[in-house]
Amino acid sequence: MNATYQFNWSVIDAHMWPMLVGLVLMIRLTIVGMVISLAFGLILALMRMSAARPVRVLASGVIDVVRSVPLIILLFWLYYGLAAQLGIAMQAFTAGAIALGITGSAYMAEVYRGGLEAVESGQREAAAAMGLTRAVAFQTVVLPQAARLVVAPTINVFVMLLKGATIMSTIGVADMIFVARQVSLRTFTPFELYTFAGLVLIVITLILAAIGGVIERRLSKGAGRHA
Amino acid sequence: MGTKICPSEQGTLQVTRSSGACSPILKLEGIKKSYGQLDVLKNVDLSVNEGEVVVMIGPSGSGKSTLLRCINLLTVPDAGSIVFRGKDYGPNQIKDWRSRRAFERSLVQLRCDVGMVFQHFNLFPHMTAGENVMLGLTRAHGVHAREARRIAQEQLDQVGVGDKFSAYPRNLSGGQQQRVAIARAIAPKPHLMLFDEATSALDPELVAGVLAEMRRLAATGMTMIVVTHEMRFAFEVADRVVFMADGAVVEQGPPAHFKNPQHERTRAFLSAIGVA
Repeated sequence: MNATYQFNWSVIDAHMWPMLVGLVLMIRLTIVGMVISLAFGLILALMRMSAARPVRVLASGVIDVVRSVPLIILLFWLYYGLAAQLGIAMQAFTAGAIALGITGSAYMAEVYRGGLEAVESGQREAAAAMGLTRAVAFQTVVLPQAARLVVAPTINVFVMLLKGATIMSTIGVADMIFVARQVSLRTFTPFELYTFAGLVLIVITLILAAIGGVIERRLSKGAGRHA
Repeated sequence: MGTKICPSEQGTLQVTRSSGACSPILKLEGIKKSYGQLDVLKNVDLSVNEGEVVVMIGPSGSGKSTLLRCINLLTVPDAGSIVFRGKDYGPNQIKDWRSRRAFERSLVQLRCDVGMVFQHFNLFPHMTAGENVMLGLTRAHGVHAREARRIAQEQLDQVGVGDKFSAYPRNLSGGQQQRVAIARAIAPKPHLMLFDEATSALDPELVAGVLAEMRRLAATGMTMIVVTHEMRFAFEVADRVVFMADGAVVEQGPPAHFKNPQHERTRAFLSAIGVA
């Protein structure tokens, strides 16, 4: 048997518009998931670093459990499980954003913790010694220094969520992968469409990495300069 | 400001540069601190009069720095009272969560009135020298930004780094960084200054400049508690020298007293460092 696959790249041209609409939906989904992750990740990180042991243990447990659950299972629990067991029905986009948000929060909590713990204890002590309240010390001394350290890993989490968003088509979110699958079922051109989707994701990731580099350089004023 | 003779804790007389009454600005009683099985401070008493310069000396691990950190509660002692300007900040103030919150609020008050200079400077690397000095003024003392900038420039000028207002700490030498740290600590005009081995992390040629700043500050009548290994400085600037060993105050008195120390432990220390 000599079956060779005939590439048909014109299919991308023909379906560029619905693919891009799907991409925009995917990016929106990732951004909403990331916003949830940034907020809840910080709360989880602060709980994880709390002086109260029960709070620390609780946060640690949540982070470990969430990180060990595959995104697709979390997605199914939220979309099908909640509807079947508790009658809580939500739209596919909402379920997807929440699933990304929950997963991202657990990862962001560890990113924040790494950044916050990397700030030397002497910095907190100096801030306390000058009469700053904990909140002001956190805002003016600790957070700006930690921010520089968390930029690169935060970009990583964003990319992870963006790639995680590619499974949202399994619950019917009409993202770029959903469009690719639908079109390829009709045109029998899965390689072309999925390759295109992959290339688009690579370009987005490279752009994000470049943006991260710029932010990192801006935040590292003082710290990166040499005498 | 003039010199003044005040009775010390041990019943002897001591000369201070205070212009005010002899009442202690700071009184520590029964300070204890342990880390696990290790007793770092064993029932330490110490009082400091207004305008007095107290220099604490002793071998490494004797508890000097821990005691200093207990004064502004960067280290919270296990027991004892810390009365500063008539108010007790000791750990016995904490009885429940409500009193803990009140205690933490009062800590902010205490720290606004007690400046501290650290061994490793602890300047904020993301802020310029000027911003380092301004931060406490604006965010802890409520000074308007423009006024804070003026004060910061004035303080940096006084310690000889006025031209470094816009420089980041990384671009300053160790000596310049420590001068900025001194400016930062004295800018809010605290009633008490704590120096925790302020010259220990400096290259030898930079030590003199920082010691000169501390001498200048002592001459203004500032109440100071200084932990140092610079013995010449200690005996030259101190109104009272406190010798600590093994978590306790072994001996204290005016510098002249240490020409003929009473305790064997003090003699052994001074002999080991080539002072006696």
